[in-house]
Amino acid sequence: MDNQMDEYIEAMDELSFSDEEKKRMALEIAKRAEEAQHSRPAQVVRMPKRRARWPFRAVAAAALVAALGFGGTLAYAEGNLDVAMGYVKDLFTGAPANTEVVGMVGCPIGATDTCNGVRITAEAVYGDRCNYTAVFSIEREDGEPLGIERNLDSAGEYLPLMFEEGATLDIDGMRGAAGSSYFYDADPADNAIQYVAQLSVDVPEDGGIIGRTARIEFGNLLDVGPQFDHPRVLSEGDWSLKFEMNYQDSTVLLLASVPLDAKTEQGKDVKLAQVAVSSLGISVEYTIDMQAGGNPPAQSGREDPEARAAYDAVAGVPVIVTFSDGTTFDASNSSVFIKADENGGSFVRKSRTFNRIVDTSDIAYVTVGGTVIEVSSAGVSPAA
Amino acid sequence: MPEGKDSRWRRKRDAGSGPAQGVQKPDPERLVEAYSDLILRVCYTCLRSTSDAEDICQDTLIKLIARDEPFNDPEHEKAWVIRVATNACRDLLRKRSAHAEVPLNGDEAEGLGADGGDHRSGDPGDVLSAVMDLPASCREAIYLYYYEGYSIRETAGLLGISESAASQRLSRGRARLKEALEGGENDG
Repeated sequence: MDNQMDEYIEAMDELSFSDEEKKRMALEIAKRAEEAQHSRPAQVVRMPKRRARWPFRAVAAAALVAALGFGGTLAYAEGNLDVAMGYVKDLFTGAPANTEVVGMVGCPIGATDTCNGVRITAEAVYGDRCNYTAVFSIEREDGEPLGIERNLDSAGEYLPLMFEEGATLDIDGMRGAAGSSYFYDADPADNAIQYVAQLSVDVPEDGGIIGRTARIEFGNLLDVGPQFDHPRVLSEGDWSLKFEMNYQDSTVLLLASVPLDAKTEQGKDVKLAQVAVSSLGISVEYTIDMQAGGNPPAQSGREDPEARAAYDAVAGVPVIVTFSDGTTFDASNSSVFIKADENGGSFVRKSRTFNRIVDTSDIAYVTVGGTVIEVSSAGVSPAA
Repeated sequence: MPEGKDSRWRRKRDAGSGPAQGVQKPDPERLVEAYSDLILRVCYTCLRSTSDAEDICQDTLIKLIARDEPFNDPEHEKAWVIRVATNACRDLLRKRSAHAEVPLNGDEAEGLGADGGDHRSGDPGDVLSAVMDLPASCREAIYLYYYEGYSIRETAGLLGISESAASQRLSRGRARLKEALEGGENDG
């Protein structure tokens, strides 16, 4: 077999382009590279001015949550193994794309993948310790439009698209996340559309999203049609991206040093340790003198009622955000991290993304388990 | 053949026949000189043909020039080139199989058969013919391991598979090669 492999190597050695072919390719590459440099448009990512209440949002959100795990998942503290595995993967698949922070927003550099002529690029990431929004552009490499069947009334609004094989957004060291996603066209004048994922992550007690590697997988871009009744594959393929989650944390701490008492929906006493808001969402940390125990309750099927009740008792602190215009946002059903302690108690962190990007100075107060935390009385001025 | 790597099969990589050393400006001539033959061999391995190699080579090197993120070292750059070229080949195969209006026979669907007398390789020889008759998964593993001198772990990383899967592909490939070549000798 050794001699045969030598023969194989010698035969492959003979395989080469001629000098003339190499010269021709070098000239062509230089020409195309120059053209690309001069025609490369500035990349501008804009959020839609207003949002339609399309049922697609629910469809996309459900699909994403299904891919990532349901809201209110339990997380355990074995995240370090995931981080280590992430480093091993990086050895052979290249380090994650660097992310340059521009203002508050991180702009991943070179986080792009192309399949079947369709390119997906991570354009921007923004968030806080537990929540983030990631914006991806999707475009055909040949400059042609993707061929989406649009409702004429929906210009600038959500596009009726989804990833048929799911969209998986994993962050090293994190065990679960929940959120929503949507597609829109930031600039109808170009051939790109945008995919936005807003996620709340089960962040471990001593960790955060920033600085970790995000690993993204998309499969088969599907156009479900303006009425969501004519699904067709827009682009078949698998896309894989990764980049560093590097952005400026927009968190504003409302409660950090003085613990407050609050109650769960089931009447259990809790000690609030931290309440923080950002433009993207809210996170609440507290301790409770009981444990959820056992495995996370199943999303469906045969669920252990006792496990469900214990989980609800530990995680069931109602969280309501009230804005200065009187509107409220219920963040009670959120992504949950629970860590049991040695004394029969638990540390709990609940985090939830808002349904829009907010100005934190518009938040009047937050109600956690019946305790009202006035933004002004918290002694912390929300960031501009 | 044991799984341990014979040192002589490392000569290709260690000789630095591919990438230029150090961080350099993306000069098309340098890139073509460094990587065109590598990409040609990747294309031949994946597609069993070199007819699309020139296009794939240009596309790969354009992407390399457009890449903003620096490479850690020349080996990182080379591995990136192999991955991009391999993905381009797979995309091409997928595209061809997805377009029913382009009727292709079995050979054309994967490119020319090894017996197709590819003009660049001339007479492919018995062993090369036998390798090119293997399934694509085995061909890719054999190319990376034996020709490029990557370890099983590195081969697995480049192919996006587990080490055990890479080992299995190599073992399967070697077994089939042995059968094909020894069978040929017996027949002759």
